[in-house]
Amino acid sequence: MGAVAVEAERTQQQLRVERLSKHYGDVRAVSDVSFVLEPGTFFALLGPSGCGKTTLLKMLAGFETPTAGEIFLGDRSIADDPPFRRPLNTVFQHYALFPHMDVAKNVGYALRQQKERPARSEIQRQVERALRMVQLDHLARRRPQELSGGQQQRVALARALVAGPRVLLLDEPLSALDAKLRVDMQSELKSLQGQLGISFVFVTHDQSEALSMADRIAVMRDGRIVQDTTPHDLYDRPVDSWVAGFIGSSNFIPGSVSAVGHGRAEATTAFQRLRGVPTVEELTSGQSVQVALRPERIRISMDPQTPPQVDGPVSPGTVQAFSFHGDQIDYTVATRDFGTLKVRVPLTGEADRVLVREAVSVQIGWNEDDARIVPTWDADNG
Amino acid sequence: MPKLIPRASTLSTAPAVAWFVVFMVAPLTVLFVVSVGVRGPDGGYAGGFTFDNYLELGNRLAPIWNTLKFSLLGTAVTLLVAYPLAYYIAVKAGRRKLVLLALVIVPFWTSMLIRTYAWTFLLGSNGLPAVLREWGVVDDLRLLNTPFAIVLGIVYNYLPLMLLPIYVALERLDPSLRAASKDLGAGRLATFRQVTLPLSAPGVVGGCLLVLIPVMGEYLIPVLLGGGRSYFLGNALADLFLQSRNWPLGAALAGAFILLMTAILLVGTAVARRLSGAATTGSPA
Amino acid sequence: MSAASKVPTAMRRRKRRDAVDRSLAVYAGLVYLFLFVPIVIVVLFSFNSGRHVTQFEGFSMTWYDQAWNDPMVLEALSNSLQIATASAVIATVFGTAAALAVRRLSPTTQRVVAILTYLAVVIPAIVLGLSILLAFVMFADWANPWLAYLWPGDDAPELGLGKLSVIAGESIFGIALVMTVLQARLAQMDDSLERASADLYATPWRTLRQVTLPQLGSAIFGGFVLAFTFAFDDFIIAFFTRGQSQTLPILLFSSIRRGVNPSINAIATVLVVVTVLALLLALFFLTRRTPGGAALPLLDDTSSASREDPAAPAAGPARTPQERTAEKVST
Repeated sequence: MGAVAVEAERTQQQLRVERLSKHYGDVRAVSDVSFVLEPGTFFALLGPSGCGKTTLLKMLAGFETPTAGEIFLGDRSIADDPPFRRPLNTVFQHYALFPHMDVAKNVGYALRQQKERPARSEIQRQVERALRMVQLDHLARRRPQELSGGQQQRVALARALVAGPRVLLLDEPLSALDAKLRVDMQSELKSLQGQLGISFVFVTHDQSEALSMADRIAVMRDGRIVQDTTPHDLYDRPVDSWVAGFIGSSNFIPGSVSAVGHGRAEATTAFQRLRGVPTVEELTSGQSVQVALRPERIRISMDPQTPPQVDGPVSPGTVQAFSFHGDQIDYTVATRDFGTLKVRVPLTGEADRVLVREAVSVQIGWNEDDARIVPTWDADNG
Repeated sequence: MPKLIPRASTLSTAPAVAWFVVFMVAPLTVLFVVSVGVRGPDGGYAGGFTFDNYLELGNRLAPIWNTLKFSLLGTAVTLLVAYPLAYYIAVKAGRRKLVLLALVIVPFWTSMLIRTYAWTFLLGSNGLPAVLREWGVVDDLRLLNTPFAIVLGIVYNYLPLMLLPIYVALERLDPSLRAASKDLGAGRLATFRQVTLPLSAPGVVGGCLLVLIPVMGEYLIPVLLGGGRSYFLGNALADLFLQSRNWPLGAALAGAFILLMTAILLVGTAVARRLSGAATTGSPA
Repeated sequence: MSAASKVPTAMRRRKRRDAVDRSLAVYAGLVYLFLFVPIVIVVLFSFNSGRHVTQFEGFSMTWYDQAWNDPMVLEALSNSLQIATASAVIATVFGTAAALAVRRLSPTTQRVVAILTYLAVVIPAIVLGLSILLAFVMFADWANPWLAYLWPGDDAPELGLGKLSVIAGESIFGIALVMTVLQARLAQMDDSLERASADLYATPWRTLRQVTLPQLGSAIFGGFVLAFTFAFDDFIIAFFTRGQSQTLPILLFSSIRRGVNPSINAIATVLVVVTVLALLLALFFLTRRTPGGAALPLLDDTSSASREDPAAPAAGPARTPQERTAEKVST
């Protein structure tokens, strides 16, 4: 009984998008996008610019009318509601703070629009609470222009939260901040979302931002969602070589499927047959694939005589270039057997901090578990 | 995009459009209709359809030539005066840029009549010539009612219209382009000739158009500073409409003026577009 | 050796550059003198006590007195004020309404409005003036007999040229002016502000009232003042469309043609002072760093380039993450 009620409550809060499309003439900005968002999800829409993620967000907010498809909040369709009747609120990319109002006026804006306007003291109370939540209560009387970028960002967030959204939409909200501030805001947004328990839909083109914040990531390409899963799964099991290249970095060795089975697949490449973990179920023999190797999964041995301890293939090679990043070193290694590979070595302690010269001979190799067999994505047939 | 602004407000363009149609488009249409009509027995308009008025213009080319001559001359002199000033404000003036610009605009917004009158006052026989006579510089100098006075009046009244577009072109010009030119061994003059001048050419053409078009419709300058001796299109139109009341001929003259103006505008904007196309492809931006 | 020979060359070159810069500055000064001296002299001589226009004989307000007591001057002034006010009101109301709505129209309609506005700006005033003259007279010739026929009684009003036709002509340019000023300001305004307002539950009318209009307020006022000064000072359109009505510029024009006379300087000075004051007011409102900080539209968008970035942090230093966490713990 109680479980049923809780379940009903959950579906009431669900955001459901069904086969949503937006076409501008011949341009399909968004095509046939569907997803269901359980309340309390931090959902990232990730993709390169022009992939349709912002158009999708605008349709959710009500700034664009869908060409086809439906948007449900609970069991109610909201696709035809104007933005001012949707309980979804937006944090705009460049904040869109009203320059002629002070911070408190901005934050209280949504409350003053209600048919039955709350009492002044009530508005003030809620504004103060929201500003405290973003630690800006001391700046209530400032104009937005007088604030730093990070502070403006917080005001925009508070303003949207005061409106009491069922789902908060964030349109690349961190893109205008500098790198350090961005990292701070990421963890703050994440913990805020946890406290509030509502869903955040977060649009970004920055894969590391999506990986670090989201519970779920939908990767978009050419108006479609190509993969919709957890960050971990996305990193580990990209559906195709494009996703594998877009999320983090990878070495790719092209080939075709020669055998599948027992959680392994084997690809015939220009070098030799390579085995690895397939990232999709339906691989067929002869299918064009890439053997994807994350640089940090390739083991390197600085001793040209001793190959690294792995169960997969090994090859001698020569360091062509390296770059030092403080916490890691990236090597470009010309291998004898597999062409040129990027290799990343994390620096965990003082002992690791051995700088190498170029043209040093090394040995590399990898475990079969760390190689991924991903279908080749090709732009023309994608 | 769904309407975020009241639906009814899209209708609010209507009054302005109606006003334009009733008091601009309709009168211009009337003008063209009258220009192919016949003059009434005691002036005015008596209907009809004839191109005689336009043919008659062939006998009255003097004001058209006169206007063209003085407008082109006046525009050229205005350009020569305005360019160095625009260059100074845009490139050399630094922080005082906007103040200097505003100082050019302020006199421009005071009445054209008064600005022209001021020169009538200054150039008149009791003005500058009298002062010069008193100082014994010259004996008898006539300034008012000369071609010089007309050109002076044009430069004085239209300088800001020439200056603004040139200023905008020069101001947009990335200073690093000039620096690059000098870095590559070009001297000041060569840099100006090969970088600054070509890139400001669209502004020059724009400024010339902005001056040329209204100067062609001038009435006050030839009357007050030219003493009516240099008969402009504007004088001819005023006479035909307000004195002799030969409306159809006046309308035909106005029609010819509009055609001439349109032609100049079309050629001018085409040139400006080509130049600015060249300017943008030439710059790294 | 090479260094020794280079130094004098460099110095000479620098000297030459300074000379060029200095002569440019001197030139600019001369042009400003050229721009302002004539007006200043007119103003100065309006206070000249003597009748002789060549030399300044002492300060006096005689000519102002004379002008102020001339009923013709007063009537013309009153007409000019009425015409300018009416044109500016029409221009502001119609122009504002149109500028707000035009961006919501279909591209075709937008183009039609843009062409009409462009036409209103490029059409020479003299052509507009005489076209309105023709249209009004011909319409009156056609309508007056009907009016006399239909009017109950014998005192049927006669339509014709007059203040109304002047207002019609002046407000054409005025509307175009207000629309241009406002469209420039609207273009600089971030449209995500209106979206944000809708997103925060404001209905369209409320968005207009609470977000759009407050941002445009100063530009609307600036446009009003510009339209007013244009109509107040205009000579050529009124010259053709006034009929028997007198305006101040036209009265001034006929006095000038009759011969230079010191009271002209007094009237001219009044006109200049009124215009300059109004203009300074307009400039103040148009350049005010209000919401959005749109700058003087007459200067095109160049001025916005030199304007400081409003998003740049102007407030105190951003607090460190530690400070923030500390606060979070305490709340």
